[in-house]
Amino acid sequence: MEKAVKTKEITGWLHLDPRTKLAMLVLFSVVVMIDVVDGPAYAIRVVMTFIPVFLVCLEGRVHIGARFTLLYVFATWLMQFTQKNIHGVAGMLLLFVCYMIMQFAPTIITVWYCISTTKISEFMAAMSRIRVPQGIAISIAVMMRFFPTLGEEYRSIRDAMRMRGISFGRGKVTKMVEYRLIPLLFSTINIGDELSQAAVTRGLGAPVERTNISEIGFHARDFLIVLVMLILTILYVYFTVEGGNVIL
Amino acid sequence: MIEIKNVTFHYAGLEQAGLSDISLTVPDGECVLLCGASGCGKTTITRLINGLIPHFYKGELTGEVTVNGKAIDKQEMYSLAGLVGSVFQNPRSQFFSVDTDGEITFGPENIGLPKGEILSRKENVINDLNLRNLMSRSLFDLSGGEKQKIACGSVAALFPEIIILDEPSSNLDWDSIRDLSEMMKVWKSQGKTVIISEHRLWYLKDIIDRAIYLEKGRIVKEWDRKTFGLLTEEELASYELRPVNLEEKYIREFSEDDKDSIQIETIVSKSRIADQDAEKRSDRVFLHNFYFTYKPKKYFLFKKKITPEDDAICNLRIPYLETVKGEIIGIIGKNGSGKSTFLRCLCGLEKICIGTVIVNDKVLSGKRLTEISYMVMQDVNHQLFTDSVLSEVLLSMEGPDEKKAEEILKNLDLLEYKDKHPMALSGGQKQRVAIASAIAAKADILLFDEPTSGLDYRHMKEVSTLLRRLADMGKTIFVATHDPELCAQCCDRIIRISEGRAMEIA
Repeated sequence: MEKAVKTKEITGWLHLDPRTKLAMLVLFSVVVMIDVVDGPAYAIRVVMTFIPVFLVCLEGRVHIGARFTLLYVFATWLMQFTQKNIHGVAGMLLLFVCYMIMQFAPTIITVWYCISTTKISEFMAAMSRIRVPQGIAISIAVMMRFFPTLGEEYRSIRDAMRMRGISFGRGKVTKMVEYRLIPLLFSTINIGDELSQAAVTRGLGAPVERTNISEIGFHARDFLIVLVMLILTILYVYFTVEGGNVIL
Repeated sequence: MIEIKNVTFHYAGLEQAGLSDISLTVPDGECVLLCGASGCGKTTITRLINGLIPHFYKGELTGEVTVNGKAIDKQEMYSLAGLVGSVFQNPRSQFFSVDTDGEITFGPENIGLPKGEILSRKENVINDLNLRNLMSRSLFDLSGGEKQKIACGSVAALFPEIIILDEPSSNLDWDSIRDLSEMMKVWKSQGKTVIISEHRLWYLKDIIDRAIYLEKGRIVKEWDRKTFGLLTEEELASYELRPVNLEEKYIREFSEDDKDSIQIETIVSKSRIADQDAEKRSDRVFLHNFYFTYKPKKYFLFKKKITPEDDAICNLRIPYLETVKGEIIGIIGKNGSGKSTFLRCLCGLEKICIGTVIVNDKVLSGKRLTEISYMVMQDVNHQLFTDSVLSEVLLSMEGPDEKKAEEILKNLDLLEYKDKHPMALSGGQKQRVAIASAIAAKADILLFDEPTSGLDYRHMKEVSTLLRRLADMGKTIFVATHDPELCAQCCDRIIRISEGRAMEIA
């Protein structure tokens, strides 16, 4: 499918080092793994949730940041509302949905931010700087390259389903999943095959040290972000251990 | 120099035809065309030279393939990378980076060249192939033609002596194809050996030094440039090759600047359609207010609809179009001009488009357009969901009626495959399965997005006959295509879309 020509710089003007983003992801996952519901730790958690959102807004995607904020605030409110007012199965279900949103939405937006603003060549350069073996770096790079393609394919399939009026699998959840997955599997296998042909004919996997021409390096903003995240994470861990409510 | 000596090859585990007893010598600097019907073995020959056979595709291989005296099967893929470069058919699955700069430097980085050398090569390639305006872009935002140019650049940056192109023009518009042929001319002037496997021949006739015709895995015929250029349409047709000069003539006709084309009316009030007399209304299809933009107005939660007032920011601006039922309308235009978008709007996939279709006095717009229109996508794999051909058709019916479904399949010569898995069928058969489900869904308007891309002459003719049959059943058909022959053979009208505006070609 053809898309209109639009110019878009991939790396945002912040131009964070991929290693900064990696550190951010690691620290953030520590926070996600330890669960708290109130107290100072909860406040820190909320602050850390909004750091990536703030970065997304800084990169000029204010509408995405705004939509996320709305979703998050709404889920928080609904959770409290449900706890007080709705009981039984419906309440449990609502609580579960809210919990999922509050648990996963911040992770998704952080991962999305990190991946969508990183060029593959920058990522490869960063990986070789921190001495990750080339095999592992290439595998991760291929995955990063695959996400947008997967998205494109998924959108085409969703369109095809809409056209036939089977978006909801005629009421069956299993069909709904099946109709999406089967064409997706076939087309990703094809694309994967073609992609690897193109890569090997261009010398990927040669037993030489791969050159990286991307300029990467730490700047003040990188140190600032890592420092803030690090301090917040340490405080977070301290408060949760102190409060004795560690649920790993 | 490339030397292929008595090579016989069969793909392991694939029904795909191989090669039998091929011998071919290509001296340095020659440009060779490999032609013939689908499955004749031309792609297989390219794979022998770039090493995908035997390193990627396994099978029984006898005989010898050497490039510059070195046997291909004794070398590793990465050591071939600097010697043989390959451009493939599908622009969207042959880039590895997500940005254009990264893609050009990808190859040289892989083989570990020093940084300064890579940068100077990049400059070189950008200048030689005229890629300056494509730099610093996201590859996902490029059109098919632009992606293919970057693929060429990426290959050229490895400075290979031999460049192999496997049906590179399949998804390209005519201007992009001309750009591609310019690139090939540059490579020729640099003394590179160019091997190209292709169905579309018109853009190659002045570039190639030699044409090789294959049939069922054997080399049957060879022409030099001069005799190839002198082949008559009948001779070419007897080889089931696409007519060289005829295609060029059509392209000239269809892309001629606005001289013979008529701008389709711009402002039409709704009452005009209602005013038509009943008889005229019953056998026509009216399209009204098809506007669309890729850069929607800023929104927070809900996208805003696009109306004629937004004309200035629109990528598609078709206020009014009237067609007779059973007509085949060819839609041509450059990659990214809005052809596919028009089709997407027409079948209700673009929510922000307010376009209305009036047929049989029914006024349909938005989601309800899916009730009367059905698009056969360029990649039909996306629209086949079930595990047998029959259930695919039944899925589209409101109430499953096996008898009716079998009748539809019979009409499309698919009855014998009714229990097969759709993914096990050939490309053309899959296309027909998609059409069968469109008929089952009682769609009045059928939309085809590039139905003949990458098809050889015979398959293209089959598609064109099929479209005609569908039209005779009373279906109104819109075909977005770059295929000049398809337009000439089966379209009743041709509409050119440029910058989102429709122009009738008289």
